[in-house]
Amino acid sequence: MTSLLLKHPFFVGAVVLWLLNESLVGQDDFLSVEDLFEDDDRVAAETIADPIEGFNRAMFGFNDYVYKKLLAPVSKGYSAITPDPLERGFSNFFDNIKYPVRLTGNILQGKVEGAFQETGKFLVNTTLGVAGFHKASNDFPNLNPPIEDIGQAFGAWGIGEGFYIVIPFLGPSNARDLVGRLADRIPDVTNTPWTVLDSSTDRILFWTTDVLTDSPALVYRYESFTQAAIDPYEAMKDGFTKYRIQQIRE
Amino acid sequence: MLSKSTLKTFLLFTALSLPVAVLQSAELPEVQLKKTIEAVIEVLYKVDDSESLETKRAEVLSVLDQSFSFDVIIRRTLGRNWEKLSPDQQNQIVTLATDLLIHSYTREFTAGRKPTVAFEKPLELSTNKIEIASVLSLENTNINLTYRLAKLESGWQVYDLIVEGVSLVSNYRKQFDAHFQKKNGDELIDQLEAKLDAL
Repeated sequence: MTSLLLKHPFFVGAVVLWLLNESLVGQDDFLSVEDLFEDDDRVAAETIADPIEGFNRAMFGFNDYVYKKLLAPVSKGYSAITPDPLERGFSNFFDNIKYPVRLTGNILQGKVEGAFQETGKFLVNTTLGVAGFHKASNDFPNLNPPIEDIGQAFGAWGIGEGFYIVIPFLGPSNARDLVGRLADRIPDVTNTPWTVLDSSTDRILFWTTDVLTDSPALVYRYESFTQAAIDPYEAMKDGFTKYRIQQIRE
Repeated sequence: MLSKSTLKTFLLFTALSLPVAVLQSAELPEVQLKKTIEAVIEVLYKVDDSESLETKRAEVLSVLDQSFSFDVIIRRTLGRNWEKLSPDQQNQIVTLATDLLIHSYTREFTAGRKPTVAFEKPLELSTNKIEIASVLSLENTNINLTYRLAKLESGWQVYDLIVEGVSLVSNYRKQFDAHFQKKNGDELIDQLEAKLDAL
């Protein structure tokens, strides 16, 4: 090979050039439009278990009414009278106070780094962020872990999602996440037995304010989603399921 | 005067450089996508705000057309139901559904102050297919948007968009499958027109 290269360098170079060209021409190929309509386009989309579809559709209709006719007007009124910085401040405060739930979600999945990041985020926002009203952690790129909850921990442990269920007022869920939601209440500092709120009236007022502060973003997202959908029920079912799969994968 | 061997070396070097130069002249898909998305944001957040949202949407569509293959996206959302439609119905549905998508897409970009977008490096999915993840930073929230692109004869084109883990194509396919279990193409056209009228 060496003697061939020494005796006929131009010939060897030409062969190399030809091989290189072949490989580059190969890379330069393109797909036809038909190539993109793979086999999965020809078959039905995979199904999500929905044995109580009748109940779920009724609850979806109920929630749709509540969001559009009750929550949206209240939310728009709240946004109109609340200055933007104050609105953000309230939203940050309620987000910060849910730290124990996110921490539990991290610990149950063995996410040590996430648990440390959540703790750091809580400490920074509570101190530098003045009791959580300012999201000071935004200035620290390492203090932005994915949001975890107990339902995600169940998913990470290999527990299947079970059947789809629409919860009145709360929206889409599934059997696994419904149990997760209930379990999320255990480390929640606004719930008994740890609660820092003395009376049930205080707790209801607190939760109502929490929903109200989240409502502008929630209503905006909900309207975006349903406006673009042909079948909002199916779109929400698929969207929620895939979103949770993504969260668990993270 | 060049010696024979120097001339051969020169010719060989020039010939080897040619294909590389040709490849470099084509714009990288991530560069093209970034330019398109930034152009969309520029249209939606023009300082001169006298244009109506409808005019802006028409401009957005013409910008997106450079990188998005709506024909492919809509046909993929219909999947096996595509064959149930007449050519006329197919054309109408592609036009109406594209309008609906543009409304939805532009709405995400117009919440509050001008958003910023950060793109990650492309990830190869298979031959001539890549995906590019991005984070759209809005006033109060970040949205993960992943663009799937295929190299077609017309260049790199987006054929699916993944929003927070939810594939646009797959999500609409679910809805269209549910529709065609009980209804037909004409009813879908009526429904799309009613949706657009209500926006």
